[in-house]
Amino acid sequence: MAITMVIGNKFQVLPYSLFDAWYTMAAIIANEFTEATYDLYVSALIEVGLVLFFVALIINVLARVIVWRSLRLVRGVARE
Amino acid sequence: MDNYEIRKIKDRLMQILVCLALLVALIPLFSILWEVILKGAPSINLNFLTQPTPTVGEVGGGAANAIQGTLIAVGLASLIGVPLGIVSGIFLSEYSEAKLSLAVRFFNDVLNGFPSIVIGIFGYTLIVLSIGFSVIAAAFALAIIMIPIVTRTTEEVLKLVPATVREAAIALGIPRWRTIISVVLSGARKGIATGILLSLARIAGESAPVLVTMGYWRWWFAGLDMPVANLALNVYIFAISPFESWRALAWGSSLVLILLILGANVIVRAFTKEKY
Amino acid sequence: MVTSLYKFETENLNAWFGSKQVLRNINMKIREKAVTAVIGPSGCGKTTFIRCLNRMHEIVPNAKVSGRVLFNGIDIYNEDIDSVRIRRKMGMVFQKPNPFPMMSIYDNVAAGLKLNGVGDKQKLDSVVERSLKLAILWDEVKDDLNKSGASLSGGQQQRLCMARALAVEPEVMLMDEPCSALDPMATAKIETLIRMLAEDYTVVIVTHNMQQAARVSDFTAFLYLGELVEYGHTKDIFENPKNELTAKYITGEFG
Repeated sequence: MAITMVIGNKFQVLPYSLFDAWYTMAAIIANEFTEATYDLYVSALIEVGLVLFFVALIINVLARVIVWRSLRLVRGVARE
Repeated sequence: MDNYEIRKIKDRLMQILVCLALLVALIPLFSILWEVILKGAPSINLNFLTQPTPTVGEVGGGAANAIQGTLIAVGLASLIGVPLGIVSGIFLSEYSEAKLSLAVRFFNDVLNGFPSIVIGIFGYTLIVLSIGFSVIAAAFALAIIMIPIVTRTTEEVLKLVPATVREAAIALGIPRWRTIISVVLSGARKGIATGILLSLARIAGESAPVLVTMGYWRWWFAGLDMPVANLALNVYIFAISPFESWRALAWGSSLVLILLILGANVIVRAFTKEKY
Repeated sequence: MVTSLYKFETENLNAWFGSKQVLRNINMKIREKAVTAVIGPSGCGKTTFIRCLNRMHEIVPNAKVSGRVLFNGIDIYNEDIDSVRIRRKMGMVFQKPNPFPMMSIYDNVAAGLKLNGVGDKQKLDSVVERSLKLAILWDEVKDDLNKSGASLSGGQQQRLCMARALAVEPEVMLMDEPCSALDPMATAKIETLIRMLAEDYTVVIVTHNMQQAARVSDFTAFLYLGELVEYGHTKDIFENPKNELTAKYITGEFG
């Protein structure tokens, strides 16, 4: 929400510079949800949510794997 | 210059750097507080606290219904989120040998800090599609955001209670569940209260899930299956509106929100004051 | 129920922490209404032994026990026996005094009763007074029972823990090095207390202080590397040890 207030909410495939307006997934959903009047529109927005879900999930799982791996190393070394 | 002098200088340098870093970290906090107080205070008057949100073109109006709505939504969410969170925290801390606890901890950490709009959509598909935009749906989504925070802090705080306390209770012939409730939990009261407060502060300020489960509401509380007004959402909507008076309302609502959270802090601290 | 001279009889008691065996085939008969000391060098299993007597060893993850422990003639490791009930018959005092931190002195002593459903204030009052008197702590704290349990000195805290254990009227008192964290004066008080308790309770005390064992106990068991090396009247063990290992330990050659 905070982002959607300042990012400019403009569709652009690739920004030309760091100072261009752009969009984020969460901002799209927030902005267009109330205007989604027909089912396909709503479904499309929820699909964006699904993508966001997977992104978050993958990052989390990666983080956990990294922690788990390094814990294993520590424990392995300590045992020797 | 001998080794000792060099180390003293390095020490000094580090001290200064750390203090600078602290200042840099604190500046956003204080500048936000300052701005909100400065720009929000003029909006707070009796009108503001008693009138509902205005329509386009209406003069005056206030945030009274938004305050009511936020209190209701956060209160409902706590009713669901706090007990579930505390119980999960107890499970993770006291029964951490159970195989289930690995899964619970994993999913809890994943859910913690999950994009709140996705959680809002979850609430949408689950509740809004059957009951409609409602405060129940919003409370549900907010509760899901709350639970990982409460679980995490409860688990951490319970782990701090020394094992000797549990042993003494079990040696007395007190059953395990009673040990947890009466002995371990009472030692961790303050920490659990902190966790609850953190989660309350978090969800009071969440506007994204509220948007997709309730939407904008201009009136007073109208039933659990109807939406209510929400301070955080109003701030969002008014802040980007083209009306000057509405933007002033946004600042005022922000200040009220911060004051509400501060008030909750004070009240909860008073209740968990330690006897010794 | 068989009444016998012996409060506890262990038969082939073995205990493990995971794969590490800590107790090997302990066969011991502990006399009732007497003080039995368990001595031995660090790591010999004496703490594990005493914790097997009130089924506290098994609450540690990966802990295993095999064998029988007869308490008043009944095997407490039998499937039908509820460990919680058994523990109420035995009081335990730990090495480091551990009063419940958030509770007052009164609540600490009453905890065993309160948390098991006893609510009658008069009964609680009388039990608290009786237990504190028994633990020789009443006179020192009677003016302010609502003080925090943690505000007492080390020796007082340990006596508070004893009062707490005595409040549930156990038949046995199990003490795991109760004086090792205390100064000599506090230790002396507790030793007096132990001798007094022996008239009505069966006391088993683990100690690494041999002089203490000689002062306080009627029977002594010497454990080494998880095995019971020698067991008998304290006088016999200290003056005429039958086993060479015992003699070495007592004269301080190791441990």
